[in-house]
Amino acid sequence: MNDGIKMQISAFVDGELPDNEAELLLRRLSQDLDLRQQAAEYLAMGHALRGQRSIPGADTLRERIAAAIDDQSLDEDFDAIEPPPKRYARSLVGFTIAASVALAAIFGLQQFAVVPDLNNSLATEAMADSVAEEAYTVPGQPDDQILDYFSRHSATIFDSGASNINVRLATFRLRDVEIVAVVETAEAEDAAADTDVDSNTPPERPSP
Amino acid sequence: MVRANLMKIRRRFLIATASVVCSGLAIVAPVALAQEMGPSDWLRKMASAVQTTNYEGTVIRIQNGTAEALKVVHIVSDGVVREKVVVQDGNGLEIIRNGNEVHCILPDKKSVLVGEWNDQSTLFSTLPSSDIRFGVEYDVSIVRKDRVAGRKTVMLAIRPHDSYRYGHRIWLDIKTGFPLQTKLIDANGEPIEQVKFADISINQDISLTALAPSYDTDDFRWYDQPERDVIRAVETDWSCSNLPPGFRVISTQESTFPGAAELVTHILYSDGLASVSIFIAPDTGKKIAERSRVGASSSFSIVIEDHVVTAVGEVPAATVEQIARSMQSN
Repeated sequence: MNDGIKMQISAFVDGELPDNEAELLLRRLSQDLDLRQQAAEYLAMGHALRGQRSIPGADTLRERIAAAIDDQSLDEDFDAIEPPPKRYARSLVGFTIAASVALAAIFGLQQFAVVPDLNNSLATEAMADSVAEEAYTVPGQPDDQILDYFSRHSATIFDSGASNINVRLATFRLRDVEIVAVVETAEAEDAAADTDVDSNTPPERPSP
Repeated sequence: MVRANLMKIRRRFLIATASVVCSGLAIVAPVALAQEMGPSDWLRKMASAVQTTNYEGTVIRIQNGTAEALKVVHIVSDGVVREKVVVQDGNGLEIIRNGNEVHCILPDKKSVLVGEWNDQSTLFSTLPSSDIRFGVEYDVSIVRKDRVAGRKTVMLAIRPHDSYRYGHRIWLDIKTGFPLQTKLIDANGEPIEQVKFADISINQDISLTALAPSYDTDDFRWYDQPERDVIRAVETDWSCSNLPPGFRVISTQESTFPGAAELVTHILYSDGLASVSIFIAPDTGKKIAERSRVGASSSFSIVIEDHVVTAVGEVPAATVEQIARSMQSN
């Protein structure tokens, strides 16, 4: 199984695979027994690495493949796979992370991605119905809180001198998100400007 | 006989000259310099270079197959950093820095956000901190000589001993020590994120006009960045019972966040290179994402003892999860 398939499976399990690619993946898995077994092994390893009892995304994948080939015994193929010995954890965790990060959304607003709650079985049905919706592109209320935390974390590590280049760039993008948010607020103020001039006066331009 | 002696003298002179030239090269040649300096020497040189080097160039940032380009001009004069960063893709964001004051220009929004950043550079800060525990949590080594942006570089590897943190690869300009390329590496050796100069001019004369905004911002709307909330150092009863090796408390603060009245305790852990923040807020019942990512950073949130505990850091997701789950109040 090549890395591309692994990444697609990871993306599916994380609810981040676009619908068209998900259909393609399901078609390949439903037509290739060897690939299904390899996918099951791969999921079992990821399963062990994450230390979780179940992965709703994996359950969804299994159910959809089973539906595609009309074979409920597929459950046994997936369930029969034992997690690998723990000694594999170190090298495999890297791949798992890389695959997850590789599937993170594009920078800008889309960079801020919420990973589905893998422990919450209630999320399973929602994943199956609308995979793409799991990667939120516009920060909602909960995301704003996390965003604040990321910003504060970045500011603090700069203060303490423990920052690094990559964090700096992440913060650079965070600020971009902040800017967009501010400007959107400003546009809303613009819309109300006709009725309340005083409250919409922009601050005085500071000297550079 | 005389001719033979002359030949001998001439040969000796040539050999002697060649020796002098070669020994001179051995002293000044960058290659030899790279061999003489140890990894720590290079990191010290880099730390100095990042704070003092004037440069102008194009930076490429690559993450998982997605690349973006930034034009950068950076001048340090009289200890004041002046800088211009222009994003070449998307909305064309420009960041103009004059000391700590930063103007973020969004041409598509005809807006300017004024903020204050207290670090030295938009792109680079001192990496890594001097107290990084090399040999304990990380090994640092010189890997090889290489070439980046047309310049000779020495490549350093900072390799973690476990999977709790990421590794780094840094390509330093042999002449100046300036970092021309960096990579963040996961436990499997795969690059998570990399930043590299495609072209760069170092310590050349850079006109101050290069720092001017590309847009006439007179008719733009200007916005002040909201003031940061009051933050104060505190002591806390919270601690981590299963902290990954090498991490230790750097600071503990208490503050509020925009739109919320409750005080949030913020504990910063660091191993000298990677850092993780823990935010502890009273559980108000507000839903918060359990796992999330920004770039190479991860977060994990969990409710512990009627508090929402959130770990955030540029470490693998498993690390923030372990730290968050291990928080307890004494």
